[in-house]
Amino acid sequence: MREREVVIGHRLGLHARAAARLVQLSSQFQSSIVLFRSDSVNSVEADARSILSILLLSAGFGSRVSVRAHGIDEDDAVNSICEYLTG
Amino acid sequence: MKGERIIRGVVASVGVAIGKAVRTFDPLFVSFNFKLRPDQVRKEIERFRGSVEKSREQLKRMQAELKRKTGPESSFLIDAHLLVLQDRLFVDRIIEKIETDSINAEWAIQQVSDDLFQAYDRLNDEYLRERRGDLDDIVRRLLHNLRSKPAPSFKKFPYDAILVGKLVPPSTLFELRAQRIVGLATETGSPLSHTAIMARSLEIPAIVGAPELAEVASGDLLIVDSERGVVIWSPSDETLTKYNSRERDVKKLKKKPGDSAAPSITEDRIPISLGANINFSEEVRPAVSLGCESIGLYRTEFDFFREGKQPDEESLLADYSFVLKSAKGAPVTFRTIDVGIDQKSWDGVNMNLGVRGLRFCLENTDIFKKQLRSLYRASVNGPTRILLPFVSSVDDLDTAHQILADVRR
Repeated sequence: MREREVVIGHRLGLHARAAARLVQLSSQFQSSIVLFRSDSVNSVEADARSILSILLLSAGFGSRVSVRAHGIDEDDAVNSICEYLTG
Repeated sequence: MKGERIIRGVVASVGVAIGKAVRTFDPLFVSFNFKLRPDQVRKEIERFRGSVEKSREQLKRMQAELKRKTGPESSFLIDAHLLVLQDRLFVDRIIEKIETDSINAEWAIQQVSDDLFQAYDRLNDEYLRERRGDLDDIVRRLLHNLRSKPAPSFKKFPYDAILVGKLVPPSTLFELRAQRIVGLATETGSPLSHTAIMARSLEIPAIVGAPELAEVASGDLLIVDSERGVVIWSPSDETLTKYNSRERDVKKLKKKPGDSAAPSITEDRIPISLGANINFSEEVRPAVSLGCESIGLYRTEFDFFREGKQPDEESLLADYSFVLKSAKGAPVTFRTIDVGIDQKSWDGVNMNLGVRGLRFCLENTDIFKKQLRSLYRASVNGPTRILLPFVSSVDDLDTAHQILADVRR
């Protein structure tokens, strides 16, 4: 399992377009990938392949999000997703 | 068990009805919520998957067109829609609902999307709250595509069904007239709507404009009391007994022969000609037997706005002939198709507010000619008049006369 925290660098946050790209990006990997807000105590986990759950994270510009992946390509998955999220 | 609740509304059609609620989903994409038999669950899931697949194809085509016309910039909006259609949080949960709760796809979509809508509404982010619009769009598309394959039990209503919805289109009430609909209760609407007129002519007690009905679910027991202007939601046993005995009294009253068939002459012996307006062919016979001397107007559009296939010339001919024969020599005025604003949209027809009445017919001459041919052919069965609704200019009238002349030839 790999986990890394990033700060959302997209000006509008994880909104429709960014969320859609994130889902498409996550779908290229085999690992299971979840996101959660590390700046909130009771954040729910969002499935990185579910656009609805990502939108419901309501992660705006500057919010801290953790990416956790589990599977054969977990390193690549976490790296490229974090790179994308920092903008 | 929750207690009895009284919901106030506006009376649209008098009478009292006791029955089980059947909810309609949406005024534009009318669908019904109901429980499935265990052997229907598989098929219902397939029907839902079919609708998802069809929606996906439509969105893909739309996206390709957008890309061609505007470049890749705006097509990401469609991406979001496409991604919702493969979202486990959405699709898998709907399938799970159909399976575990044995409910039809429309109902499952409603439940899952309602949960999501609530989650969106709780967000503190105005921009994100607006995203519920995308979801709403997807839901409508799915419901629309589900309609192309009607649910297996669409035709199987519970006994004593009371239709409940935001708004029920008149055509829906018409389509269901052969079913066991005993009452109607809607959250919006007015006693002047075509639905209310339809309810009155079908003698279905109806209450409209009762927003509190929003919480009523399919299967709930209701009493529609249009004498008091209320709907009673999950009535107590006591109330039920009271109403049941009253219903028996009313039925006894109805059996007594009235004097409605007496000639319409005033006390000082001035005869008044009495005509009737009707919505569908079965109404002609009772109208004439009650002493109507003419059918003032027969509204013909309902045949065209019901579910499924458009009527062909032969079926219209049969319908119109039946009307004229039932009228037994009384003149019948047929009003050609009038598209009102409360009609459902027509497949492939742009329903701008401006296109109604005669103008609709002039823009759809194939349908208009088909109807006119049937009318002329049926007219051998009795005196026939044709009324053209909503004529807005002399030009329109001239064009209509030209079409009439063509058809006669």
